[in-house]
Amino acid sequence: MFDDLDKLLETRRTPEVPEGLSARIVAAAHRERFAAAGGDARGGVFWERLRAGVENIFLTPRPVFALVLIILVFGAGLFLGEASEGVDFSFMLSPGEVASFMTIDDRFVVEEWV
Amino acid sequence: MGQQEQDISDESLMERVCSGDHQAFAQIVERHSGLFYSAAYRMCGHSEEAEDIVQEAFLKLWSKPEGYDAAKGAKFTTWFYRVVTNLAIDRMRRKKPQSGGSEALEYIADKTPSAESRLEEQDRQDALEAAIAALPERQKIALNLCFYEGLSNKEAAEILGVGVKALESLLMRAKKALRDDLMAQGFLEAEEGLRVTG
Repeated sequence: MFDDLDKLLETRRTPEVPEGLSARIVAAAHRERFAAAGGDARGGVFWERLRAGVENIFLTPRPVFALVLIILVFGAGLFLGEASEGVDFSFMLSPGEVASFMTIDDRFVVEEWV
Repeated sequence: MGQQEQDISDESLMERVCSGDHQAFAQIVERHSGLFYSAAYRMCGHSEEAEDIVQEAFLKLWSKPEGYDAAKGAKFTTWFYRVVTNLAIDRMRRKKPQSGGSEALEYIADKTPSAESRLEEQDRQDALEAAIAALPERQKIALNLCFYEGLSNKEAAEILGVGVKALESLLMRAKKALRDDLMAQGFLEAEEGLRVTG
């Protein structure tokens, strides 16, 4: 059915393999292995994996993580604001001390201070 | 490469590659890089891209050789065709369509009879490459695997992840589309076989 086409398809030229292709691939693989071994020697396998794990959990999804953090901080602020009943300093100052603090000192002499 | 080295099967070499034997890896590359370069070239139509595909495939093999499991019964080459095919598909999908299609050889400007026949041959090759390049992705891969790489329909179906019947259908549609295209351009005649040129 496709005899004529098959004959034509058989004439398709075979691509010429670039010179030194296999040597380049082997060298690239060697470099890759060497680089990986260098990485392990610098930080050790354990630290390398730990770093990768931390990066994976915290650093990779940065936009999502940042958004969640902002929402949590905002929510915590709202919650604390609702839960608190104002600030009470009475345990720190007596009414007499507050009164003396608020009184204007009419004996103040500028020259004594400058 | 010595006779003894050639006698070692791909599967045995892969066992050694799994244990980090760089020499075995080099042997696999030496043995098959040309074959898979040709396959990649036929799929993408560009020499540099084909080289990148083959290199990437072999580097994947080197970094994760356990991806090939001889116990599953697949030949190494069949499995590796799948790796190369998938990488080529990824690249074809990423790549924007180019007007030129595959790389063309340089034309010869003089008008001697042999040069003319070479020009005609060049035209036919270009038309053939363009017609194959214009095929839908899966039809093109099916044709390349079965016709040019010499794989059986079963092996090609396995690589493409389809049944044998579906593969045969892809091949049939590919050939029909090619025949129509090449007929429209005058490189094939309706019932009389190849057009005689020159």
